[in-house]
Amino acid sequence: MKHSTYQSFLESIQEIKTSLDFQERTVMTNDGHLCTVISYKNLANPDKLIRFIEDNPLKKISIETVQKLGPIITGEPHYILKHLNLGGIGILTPNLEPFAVIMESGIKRKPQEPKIERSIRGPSDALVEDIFDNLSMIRRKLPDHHLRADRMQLGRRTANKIAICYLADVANPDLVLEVKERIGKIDIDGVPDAGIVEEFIRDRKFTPMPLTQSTERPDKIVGFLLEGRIAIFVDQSPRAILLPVSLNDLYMATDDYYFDFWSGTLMRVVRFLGSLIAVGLSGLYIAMVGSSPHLIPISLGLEIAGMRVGMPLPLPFEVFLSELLVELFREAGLRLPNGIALTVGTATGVTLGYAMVMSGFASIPTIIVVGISAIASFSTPNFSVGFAWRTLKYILILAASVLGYYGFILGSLFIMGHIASLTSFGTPYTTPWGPWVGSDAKDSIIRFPHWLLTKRPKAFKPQELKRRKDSR
Amino acid sequence: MSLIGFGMAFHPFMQVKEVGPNAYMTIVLGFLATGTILILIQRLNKKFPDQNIFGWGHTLLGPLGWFGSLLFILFIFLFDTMLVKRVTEFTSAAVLFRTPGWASIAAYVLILTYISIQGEESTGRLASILIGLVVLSTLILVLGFSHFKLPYVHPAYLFRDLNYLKYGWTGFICFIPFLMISASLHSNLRQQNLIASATVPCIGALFLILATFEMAGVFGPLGITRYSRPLYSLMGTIHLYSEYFFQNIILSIHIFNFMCFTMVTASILLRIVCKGLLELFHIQQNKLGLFTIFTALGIFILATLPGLITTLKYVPLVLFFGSLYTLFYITLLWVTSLFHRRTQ
Repeated sequence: MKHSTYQSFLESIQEIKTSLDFQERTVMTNDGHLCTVISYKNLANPDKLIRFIEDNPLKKISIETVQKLGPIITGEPHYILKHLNLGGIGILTPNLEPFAVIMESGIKRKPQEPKIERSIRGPSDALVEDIFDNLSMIRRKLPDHHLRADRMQLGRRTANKIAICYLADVANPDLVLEVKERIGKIDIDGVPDAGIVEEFIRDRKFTPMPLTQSTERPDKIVGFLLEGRIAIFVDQSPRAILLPVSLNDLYMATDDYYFDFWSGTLMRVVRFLGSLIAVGLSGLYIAMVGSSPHLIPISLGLEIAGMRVGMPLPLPFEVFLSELLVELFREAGLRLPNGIALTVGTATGVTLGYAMVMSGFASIPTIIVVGISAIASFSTPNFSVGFAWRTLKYILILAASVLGYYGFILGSLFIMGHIASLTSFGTPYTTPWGPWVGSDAKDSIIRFPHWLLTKRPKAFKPQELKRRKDSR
Repeated sequence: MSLIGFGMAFHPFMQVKEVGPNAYMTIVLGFLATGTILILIQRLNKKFPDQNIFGWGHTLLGPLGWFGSLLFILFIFLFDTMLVKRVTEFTSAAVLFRTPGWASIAAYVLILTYISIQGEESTGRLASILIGLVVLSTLILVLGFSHFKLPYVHPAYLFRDLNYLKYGWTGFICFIPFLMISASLHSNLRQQNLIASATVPCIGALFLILATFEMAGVFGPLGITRYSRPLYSLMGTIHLYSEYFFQNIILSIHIFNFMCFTMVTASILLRIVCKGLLELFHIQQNKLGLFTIFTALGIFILATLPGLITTLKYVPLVLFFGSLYTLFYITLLWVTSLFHRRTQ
């Protein structure tokens, strides 16, 4: 019986034998049988296993003896072969059912500085691709016995390990259940990055606003966990998903908490203003200059009108063209090699901008407005929300082009109405401003000192609201 | 917000000319009447906690209540249409000179429908986000006091003038949407105490009193002659002759704030109309979106047709009878509830 399984297994590995990285070694066991050891190069190192077999000539090869080296996988041939991709080593002997032992030895990236969420103060380690390394980073920062990392799996082919991380005595159990339910419903063949999971589990599918937060900073994750929220880790993704989030959260950077509250507040005010400029300035410019010049101060209106004399393009088209150019620069800047991106970007930007003004395709005020708007869109610490504002900006540009200032106001109301209707895992996206939650607003545009932030945000319904013993 | 939005659109700031410098007293009278009705709504809420005005009508008045509720909905619909008309009329005059009226109405109704479909909770959140604009509007209002002339509102002059009693109902109009919302939605009145609930109309009333008092103080007993629309008159109080820079910015902010306030009010009123109709005709809740679209279409048609809602002659009549009916209907329900015994 066992021999027939061995034979069928040998047949099934014929298909994968042609792979470049497939390796097969044969050793003689003490009972005179040939033992075949199969694995993939750089995923698992069979040397230790072979030494183990050779160094113990008196012992028979069996699951009981080999399990000292790592977790054992048994079952159907395809199941064992699948685990070869996950660092397993297959062991085939004629007198035993084939099995595999997991002995991972892949290339791992060491934690480095965050690439996007950089900070001036605070820890400078970032998540890596390996889920266990990521979890160990979190556990080191939050050595609380209530910290849970519930296991799930996703991707029919990729079989990504998923960890749902939370503080069992703080996080709302209903929220944990909801997260597990939504992840459980995902049916997909592969999950190359956490971004795919994010898109599946969000409350509203078609909104441009990020309804979860993606982060590479372990200290940020710990901060969220302490507030009773949940972090989702996806194996092979160097970013974790934080939820639930509000729009307010997307403006918080870790630096805000590490500097004193005056600096923290100033930085946040600047960010919020930056977003307002990013989304509204171009539309407002079209509305005021192109359609309702009587609404801008006379001296300013005359100055702008003077600079626009002789422009061949209508103002909305001029703004749209400039915005499109900025988008092109941004996209090209991302793709260009690091060494030349800055030089090419600056040189082309300056030359093209100057040429556009000189040739009369765009006026100086338009270049100024579009430039300010582009810079402002990068003022948010969260990249996704910056993208969202950039997308929504075009709605305002269109509305202002059609109906002037009236259209701009209606467009703004549409955006605000849309944002007000959003929820993140049942939590209103606009909390703590709408609905107004006074205690949560202490950590909003104005960041109150740490000694006044005595409670966890109410909006996320944590089990334990108090952060300190003396909290009222 | 509904109070300020509707008040800014319909309160006769211009009535300083007709009512006299005591025009602000119409708001005070309106507030007192609203306070009384608010108490009645709270009592009804306590007695029938799972129902709203449509349910109370059915429970207390039977088939008569059904017709009473239908009339109530009709008035909300008309109020909503008038509000849309007033806003678009104003913006057409202030911003879009050459755009046809139907286009600005269509754009407004489109956004109104979208916000309304999102539900009352979303609209509530939107109102909460926009609350900062009330502070901004108040600041602008306070700025206008720099041109206040005390002789226009001399106490001796004020005490003698009792003309406001004749126009008392005009102040009550501003509070009607607030009462309609309180009675129709499963409001906070049940959870909160009356003092907390009364804070909202208190703030709104204060704003309107301040605005009307300022009109009297700035323009004098002759009232506003230059400005034909309420919002213009509100802006006209700010005379920063040397600072055109600020004047234009203030004008833009005023238009923005006014549109935001009215949009929130109009969307919640639209929601009430649709939910009320579903409740009265026992239609499934999943049809609410479709109903909202059709009702909004009705608003658009009515607001676009000349001679119906546009005629100045009929607007005060609808406002008057609508306000009177709201007052009467809620009072009738409360009186009937006194003789009603709850059955298991």
